[in-house]
Amino acid sequence: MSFLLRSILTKLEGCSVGRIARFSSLVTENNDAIETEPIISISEAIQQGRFYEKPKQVWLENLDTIEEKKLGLMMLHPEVFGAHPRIDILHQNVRWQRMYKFVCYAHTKTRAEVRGGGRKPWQQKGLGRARHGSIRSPLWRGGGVAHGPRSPTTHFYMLPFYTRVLGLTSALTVKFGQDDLHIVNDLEIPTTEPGYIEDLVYQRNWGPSVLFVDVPDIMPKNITLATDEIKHFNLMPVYGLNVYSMLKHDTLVLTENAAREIESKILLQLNRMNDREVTKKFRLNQQ
Amino acid sequence: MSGKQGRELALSMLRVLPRVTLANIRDNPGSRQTKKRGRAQHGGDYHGAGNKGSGQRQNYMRPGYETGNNPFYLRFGYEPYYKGHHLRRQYPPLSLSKLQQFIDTNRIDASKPIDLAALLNTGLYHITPHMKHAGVHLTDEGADEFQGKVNIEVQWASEPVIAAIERNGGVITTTYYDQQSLHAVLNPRKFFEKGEAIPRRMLPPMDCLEYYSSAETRGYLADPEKVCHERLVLAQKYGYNLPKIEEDPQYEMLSERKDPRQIFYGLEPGWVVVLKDKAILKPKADYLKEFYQN
Amino acid sequence: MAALRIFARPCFSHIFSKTLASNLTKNTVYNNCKIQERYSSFKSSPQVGDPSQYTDFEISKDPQEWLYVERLLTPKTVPPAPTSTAKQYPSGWAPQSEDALKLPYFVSRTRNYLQPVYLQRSFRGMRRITILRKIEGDIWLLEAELKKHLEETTGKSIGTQIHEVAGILKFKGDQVIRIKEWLTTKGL
Repeated sequence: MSFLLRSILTKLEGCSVGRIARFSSLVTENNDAIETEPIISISEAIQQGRFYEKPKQVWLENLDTIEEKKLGLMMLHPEVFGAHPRIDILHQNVRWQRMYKFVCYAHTKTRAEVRGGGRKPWQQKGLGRARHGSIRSPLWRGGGVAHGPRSPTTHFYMLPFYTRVLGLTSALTVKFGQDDLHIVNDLEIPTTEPGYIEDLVYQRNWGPSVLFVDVPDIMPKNITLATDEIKHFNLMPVYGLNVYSMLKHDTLVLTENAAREIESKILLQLNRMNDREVTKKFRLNQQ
Repeated sequence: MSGKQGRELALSMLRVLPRVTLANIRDNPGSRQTKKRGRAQHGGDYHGAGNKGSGQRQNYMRPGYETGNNPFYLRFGYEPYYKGHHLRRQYPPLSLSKLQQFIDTNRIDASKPIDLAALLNTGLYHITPHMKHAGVHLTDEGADEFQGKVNIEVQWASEPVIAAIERNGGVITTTYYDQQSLHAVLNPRKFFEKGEAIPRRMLPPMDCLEYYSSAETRGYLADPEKVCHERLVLAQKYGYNLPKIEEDPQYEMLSERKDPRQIFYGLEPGWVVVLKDKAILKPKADYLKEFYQN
Repeated sequence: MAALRIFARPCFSHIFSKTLASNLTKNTVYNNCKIQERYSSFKSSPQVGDPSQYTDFEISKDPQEWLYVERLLTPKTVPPAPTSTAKQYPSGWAPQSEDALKLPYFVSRTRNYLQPVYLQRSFRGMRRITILRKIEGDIWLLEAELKKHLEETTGKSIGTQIHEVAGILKFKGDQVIRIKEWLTTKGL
């Protein structure tokens, strides 16, 4: 079965070339174009590392025009943007993000809490009726509920630290692997008009919902005002990036600095010296 | 099996599969077992406690209780060699082969004196002082392969370990750390950030005073001349030529020792280290100097 | 000594700016109604008085002395290990060779530059399973070759389990040393 799936997928992959070609912006013959030196962005960690999986490459794009311009090429670390896409880890992360802040307020009253029912409704023997000790027993209509939900029920739990890290790398890899990751030089757009950014997203086929990520949490004024009213275009600083938001949005747009910041932060966690300290807080055995 | 495998296969599959979203991800089948109570008529009959006996009454027996038998832990007489085991000092072991591995993989710089702080800084050796851990016990596993020339300071070492280190032209000293000093050594950055003065190291208690002041165990309170003599004696006993440290190019490093009151190399007790300003504050008063020296 | 301790704390600087008199009045007001004192608390610990009543100290910014401090501060990430395969390492540890990158499969090292081979004991040590992690590339070929090697050296048939998605191989029995040696011969 898996062989069959594999062969089908490899064939499908061949078919998809046409689709990709349709959306790729070929260099048009435009005499007005200003010749610029293409940017090749590479980090120290990529230069020094020895990888089995080659560093990933992605176009560096712009936001200041509606049609896409390729400003250069960016190298991405294969352990961050080319990790194994673990769908199960993604699911565990998403479930954790949904559950840890969820408090269930469903509530029922037990037989003790329902009003009344202190008196024995009728004598034990002699009436030919079933024996009962309280009119609020769970067997009675209007009685208490046995084993019902009790409020508040917290569902907080902690996912292991490195499962969380792996969730981030998996999500970034999935976005990269499905061409839903775009790197731009910065988030500067020329106007505050929401129409501009809507047009841009439509033209570039970025899907309805887009998540823009930059390093600082104070974003450029124009993009803030332009996306303010549009609920499916969201801005997020690097420190807020999470698996849930990445999967919620169709397209992830990172600035160059943000991509490097994410890379360095994740590499720190993957290679950190005192990993015992970060995992210790949530260990069950605190001895 | 040919074609793409593993990660490469997964990535090429992703390219043709629909977009991964919140709606189409799932965990591996069978990875999560939910323990649920039946909701039908007899779902909560025993409230999860089972039927009959100890389980139903939820009278959990004390550990070791054998339902009326003379328990195993009471069957034998008192064994006094475990007396006070919860008060005795422990020395978590570190083998010579591990030490060699730390040196080989750049976790320890052998060109500088190695002490407990350097070993803990590797992040691969841990002690917990509040569990009565009092430092490192260097064990002789891998003594034959050990080739490092080191100036090492440990808390406990056996004769073959001392021989293995001195054979390579190294120096070993056994020193004692008290609880307060151990806490300072455990995480020096955290300790300096507290803004406290580096404490003076206490002298060893009576039960290990002999160990730390005898030359055979290379105690730090021993007479250096006697230590020199014992080095020769050990070389003859184990049959190796003792390299002369005086002629060694690393003589300065090998002859570096701490004061019995000193915890960190190069930093005296009583000093305060300010990490923010990269400065060291040193007290000027004579009574403080005297206090920290004695 | 307390002064030394306090000057090192950045959070105390604002206390110096306050006048001593205001602190005194505060104390006198609350002294009468004080019912408990917690010495371990930050707030109730004694306030800093006039610096002149504490001990004098000198500030040293000698870079030679600071080297001794820097030696004690742990780096955040693991320092890079040597990469030379020509050199013999006494501990038996060896870095991964360049040729290993050309193999159809690959086993990456752990963050501590060691081979990711572990022994898992369960059922009071009765079931021993050796786990090889961090496998990339053709895991099926690696399993076939490694299984053949182990069966030849032990003379027994060895059960294996492949987890392709996580890149994990499991072998029955304690095969840690054999697998590590085999990986070393492959340059992994």
